[in-house]
Amino acid sequence: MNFYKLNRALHRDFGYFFSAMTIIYALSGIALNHRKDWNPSYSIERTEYQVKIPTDLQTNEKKAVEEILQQISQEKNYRKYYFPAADQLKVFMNGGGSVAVNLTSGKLLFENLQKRPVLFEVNFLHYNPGKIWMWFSDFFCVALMVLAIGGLFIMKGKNGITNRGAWLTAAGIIIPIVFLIIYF
Amino acid sequence: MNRLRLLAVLLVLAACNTQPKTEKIKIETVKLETATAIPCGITGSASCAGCPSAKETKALVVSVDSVQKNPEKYFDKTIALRGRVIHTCKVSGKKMFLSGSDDQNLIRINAGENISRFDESLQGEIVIARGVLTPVTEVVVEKEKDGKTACVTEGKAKQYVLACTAFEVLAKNQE
Repeated sequence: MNFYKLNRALHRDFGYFFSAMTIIYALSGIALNHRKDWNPSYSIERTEYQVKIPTDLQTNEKKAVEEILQQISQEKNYRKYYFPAADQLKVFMNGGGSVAVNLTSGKLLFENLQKRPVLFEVNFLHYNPGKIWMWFSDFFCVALMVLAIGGLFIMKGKNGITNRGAWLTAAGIIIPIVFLIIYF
Repeated sequence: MNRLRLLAVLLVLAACNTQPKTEKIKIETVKLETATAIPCGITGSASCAGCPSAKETKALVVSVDSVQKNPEKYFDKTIALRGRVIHTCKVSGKKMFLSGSDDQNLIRINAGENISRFDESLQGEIVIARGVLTPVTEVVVEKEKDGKTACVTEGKAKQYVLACTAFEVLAKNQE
């Protein structure tokens, strides 16, 4: 088997096999690139309410907490609560949200979290959930290099690496170098 | 066709080998300050993740308040830190924050490589996190932009960080 034939076969099969991985990392890459502008995995909604604090909070803690949550229709959605200070109540909701209540003023802040569909999952994978995934993603990175280098030699003739391909490849090398000069 | 079959077999094998969602619970013991052993992963412990090797099985169990009072005593030592999880990082899942009696002064817990992530369901739980405590030399807190995603909690955990190799959630009767 000559080099070009082998290269095309490798490029084709790696391309098929790693198409999903490429999309996972590309999608999560965009999402995580902008993590200072948004939360890439959750949509977070913060809402303020004014609630009535039950008078029996000291004597009937659990019931009182549920009464407070009932006022924002979340009485069945909580997991745990505690009192960080004498006049503060913090409630942890199912799914990661929370409720903070000022027991003196009755001001309640409800932070509701919703997982972003697809993005949550791809970001989860991007952050290396386990060792086997880490090895697989390393393999993917090596395959990407094989794809990139092998890709240079797929075409022959006027669109090949010796003509048009050379210019585009050079442009692709120059751009990161320019950014390196600017930022470094 | 044979190649496809081989590929399918390899994929199935790879899928079987992937890390289970709930990490394996191993039995271990830790030496308490009060000399009482707390077993990890036995009945009563809600969960245990990333249990360390036999070499790492003994560590002092200390509260967040104890560390806040006398941090130098614990620096660069493997400790088992007990505190309430008041926040987990919603972006990476690789950080959680433990509180003692003062919820404005927290300790950051960084997930070691054998901990896939700190799930948001940990919030509110009392946990024992094992690892080496170090002072924070440089605080990198993502800056707030239009009040959107800056991590306010991280700003309250500027002093110490625990590189966590394992943690367990205490059951209600142990809290």
